[in-house]
Amino acid sequence: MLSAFKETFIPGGGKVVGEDYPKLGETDYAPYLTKIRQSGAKAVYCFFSGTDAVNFVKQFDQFGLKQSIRLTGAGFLTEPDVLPAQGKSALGVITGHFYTPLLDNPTNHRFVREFREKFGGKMPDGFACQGYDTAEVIVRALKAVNGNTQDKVKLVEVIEKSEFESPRGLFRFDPKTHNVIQPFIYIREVKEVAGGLNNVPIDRVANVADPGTGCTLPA
Amino acid sequence: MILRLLALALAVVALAAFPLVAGNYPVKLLQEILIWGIFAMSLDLLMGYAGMVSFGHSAFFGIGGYVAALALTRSAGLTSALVLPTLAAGLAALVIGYFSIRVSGVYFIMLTLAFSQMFHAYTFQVSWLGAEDGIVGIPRPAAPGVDLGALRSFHGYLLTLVVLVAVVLWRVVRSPFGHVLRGIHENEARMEALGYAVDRYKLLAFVIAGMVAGVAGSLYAQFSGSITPDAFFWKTSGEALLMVIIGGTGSLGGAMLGAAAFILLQSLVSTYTERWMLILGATFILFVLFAPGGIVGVLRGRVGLRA
Amino acid sequence: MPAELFAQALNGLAYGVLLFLLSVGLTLIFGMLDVVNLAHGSFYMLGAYAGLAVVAGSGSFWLALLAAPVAIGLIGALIERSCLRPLYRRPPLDQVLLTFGFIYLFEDLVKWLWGGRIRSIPPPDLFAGSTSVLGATIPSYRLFVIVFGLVMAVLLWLLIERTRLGAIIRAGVFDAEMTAGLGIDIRRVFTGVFAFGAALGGLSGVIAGPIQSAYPSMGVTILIPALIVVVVGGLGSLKGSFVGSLVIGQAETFGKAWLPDAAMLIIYVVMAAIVLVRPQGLFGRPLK
Repeated sequence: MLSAFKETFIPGGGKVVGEDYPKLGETDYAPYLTKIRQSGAKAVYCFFSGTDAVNFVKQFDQFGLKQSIRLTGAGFLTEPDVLPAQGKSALGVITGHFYTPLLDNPTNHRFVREFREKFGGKMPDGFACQGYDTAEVIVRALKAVNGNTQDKVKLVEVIEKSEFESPRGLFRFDPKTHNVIQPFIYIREVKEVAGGLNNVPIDRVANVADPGTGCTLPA
Repeated sequence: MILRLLALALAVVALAAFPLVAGNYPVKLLQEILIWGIFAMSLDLLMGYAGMVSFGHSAFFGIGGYVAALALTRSAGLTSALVLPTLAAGLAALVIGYFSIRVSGVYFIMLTLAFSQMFHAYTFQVSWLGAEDGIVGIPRPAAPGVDLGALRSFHGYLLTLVVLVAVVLWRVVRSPFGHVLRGIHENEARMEALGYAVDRYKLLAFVIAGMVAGVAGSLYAQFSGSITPDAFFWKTSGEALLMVIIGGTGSLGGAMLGAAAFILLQSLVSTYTERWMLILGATFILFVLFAPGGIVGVLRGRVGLRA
Repeated sequence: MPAELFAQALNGLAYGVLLFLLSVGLTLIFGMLDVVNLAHGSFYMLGAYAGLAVVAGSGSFWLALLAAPVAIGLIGALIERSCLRPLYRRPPLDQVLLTFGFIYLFEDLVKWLWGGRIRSIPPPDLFAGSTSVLGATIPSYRLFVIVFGLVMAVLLWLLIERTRLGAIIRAGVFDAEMTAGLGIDIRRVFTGVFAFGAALGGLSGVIAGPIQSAYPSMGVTILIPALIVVVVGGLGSLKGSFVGSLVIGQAETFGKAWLPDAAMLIIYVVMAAIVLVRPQGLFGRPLK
């Protein structure tokens, strides 16, 4: 993840003054945060999710680093599953993701409303969107082949051509790599909005296709 | 005696025929039980017979798995699948055992734990072993005349090996060597006074147990097609420990039964409720309080079954 | 450079002090009852959740600091009397299974009651920001943890070394049978020590809450470092637990800062070395 970041950051003129790789499930980031402070960095880019994301963001704030350093990271850092636990510590954190519940399109409005109704007020996150989209792909594909899953080649063809309005935008697969072409990658900032903390989109990049590094399944 | 052998033979035949009557998922479950059963049996040799409680047995499971993974991805033959992992695990057991035997009791537990965790830490970090993702895409070994990629053929192959290992361990346990081990378990000082080189016996037991654990690890890599640092983690050692205790220490059959009980409990309970961990934990506690001899203890009480 | 070192040393001290509070209970239980209490990490975890509940209910962190350990101590006493007592005469393996079972039980119980997601416990407002100590910046709460831990260490030392109760505990650790022979109801002492150890574990969990939040598997994560501290320090030794946790705390902290690749390995190597070279640990009784 981080090498992908460096691939575009450094040629873009950025300078990396330090790197660290805390282990999964790390609970105490103090040594790393002290190093960050002492490095003089102006911003931090990181990848954490779940429990790690909560602890890192909170401790980042507790060490008083937010005053002078911008915290950024991959989307999972501030998803709805961790925002409540992070609380005020997450304010101002900038992340990139293909989804935020605050997206302004009719499909998403409906999705968020129905999701919250069905799941007791829970806020959908990127994973919820992915789950929903996956189900859409499967259902549409099955309809297109009339339930006949024996012909695998036809099934793959039909899935490859999937195209529909998802909460994140227009959902399509890249025929070359079979990766999803993200209609947008949003740059989001955590702000206080009606209903609590959420990821507010402040910028976006259109039609992002993952070139893929060419992985193969064993025969 | 004849009755016992007959019963065992029947059981083996039933296990072999299982794929003919059951679907893919139950067969895979059975295969997992068989593999973990071997792992548990090897630990029981150490714990139940030689009295050495190890919390680091996963080290040899992991080594077997990783060596098999590395070897099979280069040359997918039976040597890679069975010989190399076993030898590697045995070598590791020799080194680790040499140091660990110097202490006993809770210190032995902690030292063996430390060694397996070191392996875990190493394989977790280094990229040549796939770091935390481990090694994937491990091919089935190419055995002459049979395609081990097919479920039934693999089942036969696995069952054959399991029976072989069980027979070997059974012979070891019944041999004079096995008796000396039990003597050491009961009263080490007495055995030393009788002139036995206790440390050498313990080390040999440790190496044999390690080698069998290596076989289990290698089979696991072949079964699932992948191996990760989790194989080294202390939870793996802990689960094997639980299997041995649930089955009843000091009984090879018990170890296999314990593996079955643990895996079935885990899989079946989780299909019905999310609270499977709660039930598993409560089951262990109840077992300890009311069925201390494990499953075998219960069976012995009821049916007067094998030793 | 010195400021950098000092800042990391403070980090290590805060972590070490946490480990100390947790491992004291474990080492006393080990030393006196000869019990491998694998569920000790669960007491830590339960303490954090008890703290969460008290703070959510009353809004007071200080109340949580008092109430949670008491609750966990009671749970410990209950477990000792009902499940552990029958097992003292049995092989230690049975205790392993029992306490392992409690690990599973408690972890899932907590998931059931509070959900599997991580929950944060806010530090008391007094300590919400960060302060500067001799040029090194440290969150105020961690400074509090250090001071609190050191004060607790002194209090515990006074209790164990300078009171009659402490003398009984020390005698029990040294030789439980003889102590019973002196007419002391050793079974009550066992229950008391187990409960006390559990309470300390719970206290450690409450203290850790504002730093690392509460999540169901936190007990399992901290268990290994605690076991290592106990082995390095010596079973049953308060001093050993103190020195051991400070050493391990610094080793892990500086390991993470300077030798990230070896960070995970370091404590295991240290422990293996101690077990091989001096198995009774730094301050434990020499092995029989």
